[in-house]
Amino acid sequence: MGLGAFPAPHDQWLGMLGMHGTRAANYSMDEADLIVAIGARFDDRITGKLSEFAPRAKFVHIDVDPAEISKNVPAHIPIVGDAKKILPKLTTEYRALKADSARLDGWWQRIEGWREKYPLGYEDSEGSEIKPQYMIEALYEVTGGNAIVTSDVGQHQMWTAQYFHFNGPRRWINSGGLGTMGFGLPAAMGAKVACPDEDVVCVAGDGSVIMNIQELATCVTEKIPVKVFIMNNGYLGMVRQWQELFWDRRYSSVEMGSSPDWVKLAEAFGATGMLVEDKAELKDAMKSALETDGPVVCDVRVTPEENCYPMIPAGQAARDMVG
Amino acid sequence: MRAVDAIMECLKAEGVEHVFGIPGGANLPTYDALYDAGLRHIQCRHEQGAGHAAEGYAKASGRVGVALATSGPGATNLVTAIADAVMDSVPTVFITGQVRTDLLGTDGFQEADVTGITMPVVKHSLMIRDPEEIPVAIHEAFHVARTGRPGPVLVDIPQDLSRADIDYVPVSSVDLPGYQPTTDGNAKQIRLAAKALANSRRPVIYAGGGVVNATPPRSSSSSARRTGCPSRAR
Repeated sequence: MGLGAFPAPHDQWLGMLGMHGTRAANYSMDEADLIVAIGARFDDRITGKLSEFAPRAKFVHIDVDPAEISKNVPAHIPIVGDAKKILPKLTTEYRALKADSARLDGWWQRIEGWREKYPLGYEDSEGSEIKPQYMIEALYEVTGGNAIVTSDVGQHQMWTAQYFHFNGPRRWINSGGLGTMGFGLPAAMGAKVACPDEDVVCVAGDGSVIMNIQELATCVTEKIPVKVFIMNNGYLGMVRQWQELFWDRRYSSVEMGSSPDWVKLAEAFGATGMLVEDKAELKDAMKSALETDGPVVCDVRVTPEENCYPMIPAGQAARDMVG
Repeated sequence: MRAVDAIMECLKAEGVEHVFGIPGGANLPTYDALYDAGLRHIQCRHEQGAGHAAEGYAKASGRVGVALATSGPGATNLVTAIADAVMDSVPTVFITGQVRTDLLGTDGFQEADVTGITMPVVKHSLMIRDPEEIPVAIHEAFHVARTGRPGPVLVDIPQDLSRADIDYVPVSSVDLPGYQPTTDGNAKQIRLAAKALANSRRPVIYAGGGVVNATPPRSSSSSARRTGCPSRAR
């Protein structure tokens, strides 16, 4: 939810926190002595096992909603109000104390160690196979990182959060709390109406996008040129991943089969349909999609059984991250 | 003036330029007013799509997103989008048609108790009982949606009340004594937080969606850079 609030390319950025966040982010929470939470609500995907969450930390909790204070994690210093008003005051007060920034040197070294030891990464394919992480890196490169990006919910959402480095707010638009599959296409439509001069792309899942695919008709008739990139792995991918890891690989109702033909479906709606199966063609296809007038649906076939890592298994603590 | 024409005046006064939605029996009057109101209406294909589009509009721009739906299934199709908007604190206003007041509670065609159904997932909701209260209700809806912790507000308008004639007087301000969000932050608490930061040796900033909500488009937070604290986001 907060991606882009602090520019991802900045060296003080530790990455996303939580179940599929970076080790540097999660381990630093685990060892922190002070956590300043701003407009955040400590949900279960952030904390993991609540009783073992950030055991050494005191909490400053800044939130405009008093009901959030100490809802999940007891706040030592609650501040109710608007972050826009509070942060400048906090910065002024902090500067007046003239704290020695060298006191943080050891902490930064510790963090740097985690970053070096556990960078986000994946094993890329040698041949034509498109890894889902590579797909997001390609999209980041082709858009110059400047697009407004919406997503559905699942693996593709987490990979987008990990590999698209958002450098400003209001560029990452996803269903963070409710986790609504089918959110991405209509949200992209709304974002494009609000910001017609921006590239608006939807990174969709093949399981998710069909849940609101009817809005492609809206995009066509209302002339809203959103670009939909379907990360097509043929599965309800995140559910499949959980069945693989935690349910003995008993794949129960997660295969999507061969329906629909996304190119024909796009064309039936009056949009442009594209199919990409070869890694060598991906970036050019993405460029072409962005340059094509009108709505585009680009079906990108990716590795079917790739898992999203790292991961804090549900109900476990940050230090128990796997992958 | 018809109440629905007053709604259009209220939307324009709130700076609304775009609305998403689908017409139906119970909101026919609203769509008649929309016909030449000068707003751009994006005619969606499913109310859930209209609701998420309003969310995407709001998240991208920082302005209030608006979606319209008819009664019954139109309104219930909005429920997922409303629940989504409350979870992610998205400033949105949903205006639904409702069956005529003489049919309320009779299981009328396309009747659903949408204020009841959405009660746990709205920031605020109301059903109009008197057409004269519609302009104030619309402005209050926008005020509640975008102030404090942003969220979805639902205004349900029975069909006969929406087509009633009212004495429309532009609403200049909203007065809600029971709704006064704290925005400034307690000065003593802020000092305590600054001291805690200055004394900390392993601090981390955990920035959530509320920080994005507090920023205008494409600006970025500089507080962490000034304090030198590590930063991460959800």
